[in-house]
Amino acid sequence: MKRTIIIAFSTLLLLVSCEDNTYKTFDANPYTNFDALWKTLDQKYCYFETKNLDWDGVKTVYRAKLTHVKTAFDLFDVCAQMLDTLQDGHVNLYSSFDISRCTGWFDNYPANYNENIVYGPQYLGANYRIAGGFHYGRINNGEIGYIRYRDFSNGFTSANFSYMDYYFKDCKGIIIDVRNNGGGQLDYSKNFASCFFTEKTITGYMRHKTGFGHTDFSEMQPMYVDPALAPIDWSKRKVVVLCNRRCYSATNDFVTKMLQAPNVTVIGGKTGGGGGMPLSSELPNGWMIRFSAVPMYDQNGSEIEFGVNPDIQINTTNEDASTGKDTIIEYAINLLKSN
Amino acid sequence: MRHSFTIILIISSLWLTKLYAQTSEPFMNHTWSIGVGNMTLHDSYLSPASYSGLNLNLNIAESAFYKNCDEKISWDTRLQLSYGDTYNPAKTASINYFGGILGYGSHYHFQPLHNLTIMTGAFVNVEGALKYNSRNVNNMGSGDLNTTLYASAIMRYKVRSERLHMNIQYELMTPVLGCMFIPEMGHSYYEIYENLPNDLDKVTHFSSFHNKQGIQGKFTLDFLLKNVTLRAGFSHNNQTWQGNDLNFKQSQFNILIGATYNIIRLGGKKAEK
Repeated sequence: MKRTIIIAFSTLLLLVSCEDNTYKTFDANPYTNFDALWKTLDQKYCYFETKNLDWDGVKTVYRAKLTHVKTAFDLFDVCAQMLDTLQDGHVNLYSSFDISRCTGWFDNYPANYNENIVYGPQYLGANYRIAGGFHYGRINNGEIGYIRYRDFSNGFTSANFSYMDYYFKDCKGIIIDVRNNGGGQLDYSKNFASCFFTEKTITGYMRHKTGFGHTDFSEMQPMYVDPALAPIDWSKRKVVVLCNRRCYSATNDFVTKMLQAPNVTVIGGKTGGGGGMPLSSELPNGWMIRFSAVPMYDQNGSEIEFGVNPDIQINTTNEDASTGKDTIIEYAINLLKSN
Repeated sequence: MRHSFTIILIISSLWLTKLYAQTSEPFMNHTWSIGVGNMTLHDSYLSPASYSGLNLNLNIAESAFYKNCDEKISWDTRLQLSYGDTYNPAKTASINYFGGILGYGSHYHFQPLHNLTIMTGAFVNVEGALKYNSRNVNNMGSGDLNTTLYASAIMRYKVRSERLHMNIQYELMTPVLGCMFIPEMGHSYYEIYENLPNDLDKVTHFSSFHNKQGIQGKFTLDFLLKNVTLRAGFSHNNQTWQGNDLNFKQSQFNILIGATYNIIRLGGKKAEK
């Protein structure tokens, strides 16, 4: 009996103190950190299959470059180059001296937005109002309500909407400009989009990794908008949403939802994507890695990682810009006045 | 199956609590102690790194004998609140830990020697913790929640001399079975929150030796002074659990100081007698 107790106790001690793969000490070795970065993404990144990427091949190419690494800056640059092969704006490496970022997803597309024009005398001007995360005003001789939402990290309340609603009561329609909005919180996207629906609606799906394999995913879970939770009912108002390639992440999700709203027209350029909700991890040297982990889809189960097309594709022109006009806003004004 | 087990465990705990309230002796031993020490955390949902740093504990414990058991069977209740301020090895990120344990246990008392008492029994604990990583995105927080049945043993030796009245005690607990919450590997809390009813079976796990191991111990010295009993000692808590390809580990070592006293619990009609 005594022996059994001693064996059981020793086994328990062994189990709770046994070695594992955790980083227990600081380690600056380039190979250790490179391998940890590669492995983290290999196990947790969600778009290898979608992007048809040979991740083992990527490792072979970039690990060979470690022979030239002499400083932390060199290692960072090799890791950043490897991450750039993912062409994903949600993939970043954070160190104390730099943050890697991928810009390929918007570099080769028209800008379709000029801050100086939007905040110029033709539109918002200098005396625009601010409610929560919204900049707003009446444009086109007070006929159109215009809301500029720059960042889905900035929140809003029902009161913000109530006052804007009153301010826009004589307007023929509302323009919601989310161009160059790089994203933020999905909750804000959901709540804002819920204002434009008449009933609870499935607007997309999401799923998550359940294992380390590139195709180990859960079942798709529906994502809803629910007018009952909306800060205001704008489902009867005529609305035009403006988007461009720099609409990313939560903004991409918002545009995906708004494309399904009954009285809403989405115009501008194709959005930037960023359909994978990012999670984070870290390396033995303390650098943080952010990566797409939870893929999201539209109402048909189609991919939104590469962006979504608006209802009406339209680009800004240099001719309009030279006269202080924004082609996309002008198109939206005409659309709202003509209906 | 998992849900049935959880419900049975919770009902059993409530029933035992009711039982003790009805059948307990009015004399109750009450202990307050605080602990300061070190904590090491590993939560692979938040990070592959081990985080370590300061740990603070507040412990409140009560115990008394059941009625009509000839001082052979006692009950214990415990409440522990814990805070941890931990850092990764590179000191570039931190995890703040807020934990709580509520436990109820019963022990049978043996007395093999005149001054030696050995108690064996079990605890049912409800344990929860919130961990917040200062740097993460979307997976910035992680929650532990479990109900666990622990096997427990306590050894107490009374030192009685003319100058010194002291109790030396060592307690040991190990988890046997229970039920615990563990998210799936790439599960975001946004998704869990949005779809909790659908995901409940994926995040609820039966726990036993195959996926949860641990040893909790406490060595204490109680010095019986004229009006109060002072307590000093150290505690250790080593636990590891796994599920959904995620690993969790927690170690705490604390130095304890506190005070123990007896109270008489009177209420209702008893108070009038």
